[in-house]
Amino acid sequence: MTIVMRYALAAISLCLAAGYFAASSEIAVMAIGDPVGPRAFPMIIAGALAVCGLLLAWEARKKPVSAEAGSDDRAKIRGKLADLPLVLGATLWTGLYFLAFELIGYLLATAIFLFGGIFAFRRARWMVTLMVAAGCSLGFYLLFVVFLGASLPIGRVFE
Amino acid sequence: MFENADYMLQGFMLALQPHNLFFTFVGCLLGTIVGILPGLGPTAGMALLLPATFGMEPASAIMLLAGIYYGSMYGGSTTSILINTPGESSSVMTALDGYQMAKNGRAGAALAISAIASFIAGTLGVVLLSLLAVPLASFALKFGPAEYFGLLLFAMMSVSALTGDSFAKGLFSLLLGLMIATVGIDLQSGMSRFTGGVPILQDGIGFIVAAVGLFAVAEVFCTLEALMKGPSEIIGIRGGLWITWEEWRRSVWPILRGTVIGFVQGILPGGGATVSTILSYGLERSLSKDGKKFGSGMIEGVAGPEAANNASISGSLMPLLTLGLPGSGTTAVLLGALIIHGIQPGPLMMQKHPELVWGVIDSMYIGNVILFILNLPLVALFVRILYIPTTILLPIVLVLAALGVYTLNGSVTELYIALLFGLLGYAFRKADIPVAPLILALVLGAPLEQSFRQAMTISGADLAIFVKSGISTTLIAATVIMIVAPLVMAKRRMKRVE
Repeated sequence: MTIVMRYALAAISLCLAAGYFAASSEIAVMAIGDPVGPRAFPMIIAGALAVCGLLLAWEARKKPVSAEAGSDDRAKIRGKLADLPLVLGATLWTGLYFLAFELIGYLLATAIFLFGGIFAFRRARWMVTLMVAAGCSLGFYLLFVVFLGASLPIGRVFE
Repeated sequence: MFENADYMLQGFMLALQPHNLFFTFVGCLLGTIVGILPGLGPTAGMALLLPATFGMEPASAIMLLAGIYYGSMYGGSTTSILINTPGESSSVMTALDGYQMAKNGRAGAALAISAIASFIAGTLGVVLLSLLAVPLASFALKFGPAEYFGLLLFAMMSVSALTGDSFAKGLFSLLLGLMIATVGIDLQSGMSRFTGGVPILQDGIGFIVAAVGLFAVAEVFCTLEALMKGPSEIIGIRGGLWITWEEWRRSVWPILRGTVIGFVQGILPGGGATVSTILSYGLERSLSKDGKKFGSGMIEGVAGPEAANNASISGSLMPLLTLGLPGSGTTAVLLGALIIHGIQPGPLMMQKHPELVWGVIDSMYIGNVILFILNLPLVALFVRILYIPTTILLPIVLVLAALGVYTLNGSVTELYIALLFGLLGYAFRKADIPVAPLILALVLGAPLEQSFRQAMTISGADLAIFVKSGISTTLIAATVIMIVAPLVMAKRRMKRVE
């Protein structure tokens, strides 16, 4: 982990501690009940998060800093984030799949999701991709609905 | 002693029922497949299949999930040996010499010794579990709320301190998990906490939703990145699947030593199969007359770690089944499965549900035999799985994850929560933050708070209750050592560097 990332994590920990502490103060407490109440445990966690943030900052501070280390850090961060657009693209595609899940139904949404997801990497064999997408979609339907007795959406547009 | 022999026999009767034999077989088969598929470890596999076990009896469900757990250890070595890509982290050491054996034309021998070592260590590990579970369970009867709080705190701190390269990062992961575990209605006061008025959060964030996101979805994202680096070469299996008498003679003691190391390491929270394989490999290299040849295809370098990773499963199940204490992310998923099936884990689980505990232990004897049969003669069949393009497998895993989450409550909101956890798990991996403390906190957060509040209610808000009994004092002291020791060692390391 680079020094920049350690300081960033320390800052996140301290912000989380502050926000969590503030939210814990809003929890209603009954006049009767156990002596600790529902607020105490979250407040202890908030305190521990603050300590954790300071520990992370201490670890980052103790790392040797030099011009070489700085450029190494930047290169490492660039390396780690190089494929981020691919992951974000996959996240977006999956998010759209979830959006379509109840709208157009499990079978159609899943077949489209699988076709798109596989076709993005295997453009030459679109017919095989289509068969795999449709086959898997139907196969999982039989497994979950027929065999396991689960309930999957037909699609609001088809109801 | 005779009563326990009676329970053990009852356990075998339960495990040998046809439907339970079937589920043990399915678990072992799926575990082997999960182990072979790079990027999909036992935790992700168990999290994905957990929703599918809802209609099953608790014993059958746990037998199936346990089968996936120890089955994946058998399967993980196949990819280590044939494509130098471990199926899961505990097979990393097997790749060092296993892949070299394959390159030297001894892939069959490497796969054979891997299966043999796994079978012997797995079986011996279950025998040790059978012998030691009862004394530990008897000791567990002395646990009250204060002792249980100390035990849970010790387990969580150990996992935070011993996983990853930084105690502070492990602690951050743990505290984030505890934060998430407090979302929902407080069981003791009935007050709503951190729900933001969202109805679905009243019951808290589901463990399965988080586990599927953190393990299955995050693994898909990480494997997608690895895919960009290009495909791996698969070495074919030439010759027979057997070893020479000389190779067997050289493997016996590494297998026995690996079994002991793995079992003991598995018991410790935060220990895990990966650490045990590293210890075993290091030991065999130091004991061998040809230590310098390790890394070039030494059979001891395969036999020892493979024995260690299988024995560690039995070790890790011991605190889970006797104390209700998971020591890793994978056993935390098993604990979650017990809770979902209405079994309250804890120190009294063995007393209250002896048939379930012994049924699961005895199913492991059967499971090891099944796995030996599956992995030795049928390994060539499983190797075919490696030829399925990862670009087809990854979207299928996402669909399975979505189905598993949706069939819980029919909620699309939970699908998005799983996706968010997937991104969180991916971010954790990029930042080298361990995920195991977070999942452990999600499972143990509620019991930790509950035992704390129960102890405080009993003592009338007097904190001295946590240092009244010898057990809780020892556990609190051990927790303090777990917190302080990594910090002192880190400070010494930095002083040496300066």
